[in-house]
Amino acid sequence: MIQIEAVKIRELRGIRELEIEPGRKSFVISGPNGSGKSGVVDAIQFGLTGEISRLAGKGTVGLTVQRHGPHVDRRDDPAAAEVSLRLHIPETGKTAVLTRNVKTAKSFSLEPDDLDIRVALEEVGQHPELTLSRREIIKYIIVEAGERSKEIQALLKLEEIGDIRSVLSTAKNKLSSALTTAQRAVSNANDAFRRHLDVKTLSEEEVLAAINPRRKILGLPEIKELKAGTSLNAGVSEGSSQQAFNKQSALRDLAGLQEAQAGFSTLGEKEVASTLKDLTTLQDDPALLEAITRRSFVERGLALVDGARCPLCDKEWDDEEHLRDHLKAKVAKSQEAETLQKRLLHNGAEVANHARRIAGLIGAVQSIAKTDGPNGFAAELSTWSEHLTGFAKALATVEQVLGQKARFEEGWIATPPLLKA
Amino acid sequence: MATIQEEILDSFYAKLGEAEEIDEEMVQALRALFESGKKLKADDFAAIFAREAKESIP
Repeated sequence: MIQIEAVKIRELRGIRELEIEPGRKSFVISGPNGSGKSGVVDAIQFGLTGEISRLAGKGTVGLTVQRHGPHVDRRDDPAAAEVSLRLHIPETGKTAVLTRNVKTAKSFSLEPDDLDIRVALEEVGQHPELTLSRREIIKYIIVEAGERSKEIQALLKLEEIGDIRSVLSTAKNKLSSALTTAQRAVSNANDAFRRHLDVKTLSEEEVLAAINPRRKILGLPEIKELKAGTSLNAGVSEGSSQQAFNKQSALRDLAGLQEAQAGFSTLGEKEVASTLKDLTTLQDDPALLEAITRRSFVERGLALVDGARCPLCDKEWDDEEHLRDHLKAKVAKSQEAETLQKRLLHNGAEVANHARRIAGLIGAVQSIAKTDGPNGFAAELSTWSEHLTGFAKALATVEQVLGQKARFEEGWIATPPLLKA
Repeated sequence: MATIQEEILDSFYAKLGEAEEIDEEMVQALRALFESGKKLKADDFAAIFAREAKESIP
């Protein structure tokens, strides 16, 4: 704790010269409007921290301690504006006089120069919430509820934490998306591997029971333990570069595709219905589509903010914070558009996943179609697979989903005639 | 005395240190990123958290 024994103010704010002696006690300053009461609060804050909060923050653009700290008659002489505080630290019993003037506001002199008092002053400097002026207290009471947390965050010097939280949230979304993609790839690969080995699960016991009899036929040693790096075909000669045809496996792949085909009529039915409904809403309300387009544009701009110049229109703002607040407000306005956008992209991702899975099944039967399928069937499968892969890739943005409306309406799976037959 | 922001960061590092899936190397990389004074970008964080996968995040 710091107790104030005496205050001496010279040429600061509305005060020409003033000396008061609170004598380490709480004190009250009274007087008519404009007599300089707030100037005393400003002076004490300036003495302790080198800052005057009334000259900083919202609505104070262009105001500075250097320019507006000195008395109006000494505006061009910041060295004349000075505050001396005789301070007492009860915990240590030490007293010293702190003097600070506006010209060199960042530094102060201390007589005697005592380390304990400097530590106490440093604490005050880092915790501006300890020296709130009346104006600030009122500001936190009357500010709009939504803005209060921002104001308090700024008071506690926590703006960076807010920015870090926002960047971490973006990183989390990116990593979640990468994780989902990886999990789908693993799931598809597991399906294909299970079909190939004709096993129900990928437990070590079941996989080895399927692999070792095959290895025995080939005269290869048994694999006793399955580890992450175990090669199931270890010891198999490179031989011909052409992959051996495994009829049983191919038949299972074919059965997998046939089984999937049975569910084509209902695959992604719910997502497609929801997507078509949303696309109709979008087409009926061009303003909503515009809000979505602008939203992603503004969001991109927000991510690119690096300084006070707007990355979208090159306009120079007072500072980066104001620019960020402006762009964040624009993003917040398009809440309805955001909900629709999220739903469209979510449903699009689900349908894309189904499409990729079918393309994976098609890939597995293409070799058998080449050798044993009806004329042209392999080419038809290849076109179908490309169609589904291209469709899955074209569902990443709202604009792309909108462009695929006809395919959603006509039946996105588009089973080829020979397969239907 | 540390600012509130520094205290929050310290408790963030401590929490990370307690998490099983986060090793000391990752916490040090995060510390280095915060202390570098560079503008923080989501890709930098994603690269640190995905470093075990040794793959870039699209």
